[in-house]
Amino acid sequence: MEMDNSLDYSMNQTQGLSQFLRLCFAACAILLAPLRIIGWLLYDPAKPLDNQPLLLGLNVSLTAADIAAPLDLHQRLWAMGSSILPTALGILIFSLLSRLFRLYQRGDIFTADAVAVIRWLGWTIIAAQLVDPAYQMLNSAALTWHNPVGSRQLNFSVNFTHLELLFTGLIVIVVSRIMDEGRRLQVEQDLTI
Amino acid sequence: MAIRIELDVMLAKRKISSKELAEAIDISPANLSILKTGKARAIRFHTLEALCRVLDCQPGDLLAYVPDDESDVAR
Repeated sequence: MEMDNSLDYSMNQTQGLSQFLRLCFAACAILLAPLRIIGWLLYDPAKPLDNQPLLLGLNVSLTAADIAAPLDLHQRLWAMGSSILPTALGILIFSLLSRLFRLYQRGDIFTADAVAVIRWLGWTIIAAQLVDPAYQMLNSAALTWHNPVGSRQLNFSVNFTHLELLFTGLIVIVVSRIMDEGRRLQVEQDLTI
Repeated sequence: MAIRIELDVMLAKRKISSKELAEAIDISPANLSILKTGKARAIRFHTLEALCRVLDCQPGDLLAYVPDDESDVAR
């Protein structure tokens, strides 16, 4: 009886936390695109990227010195366009996290749906790292388009953060396989009386 | 599944309903139904012990081995 009560309490806590996280991630998924749009419209190359929270999560490999002329609206729109794919992947990651915690809130932990969501999460994290160099090239071209001829840039960087996140994506995929094993054990357990 | 749990026979002999048996051995009626209909993959020893205690019988009275081809014919 005591063990049942403590299990119920633990499950209630998990469900409460899962609901909170589900709502947070759903809000992030909805707000990411508008925030990025506003971020690019207000982007100030003179300020460090850390001081421009609306663009957090995006790599901008240029400094104020690289951008010769003040940015006009077209450049900002092109920069916005270049970040469509990373932003879409970011929205997908938040949506998958929201969906995962919705399943956990319902108590569906070792289920085929939960396993599939975790697997998709892993692949999306990997895809975001593979897409990043292309985004950086397009972005640097957009931001330096009005530079004098010979000073326009098309650059990208691959750094330790990319490798870390690639590795994280692989780990998440491995975790999905472990959860799948858990699912198989759960199915067996469900039909053991 | 080649192993059958013959609960219906013992329930009739002891004149107990499924609901009463489920309450007596502390499992849900849904789980008892899974046992009765042969959908269970495994039975725990403590469940088997509880069944034998309540129905006053031996495990052999509840379990029967029917090879798969015979059980297909029986169906």
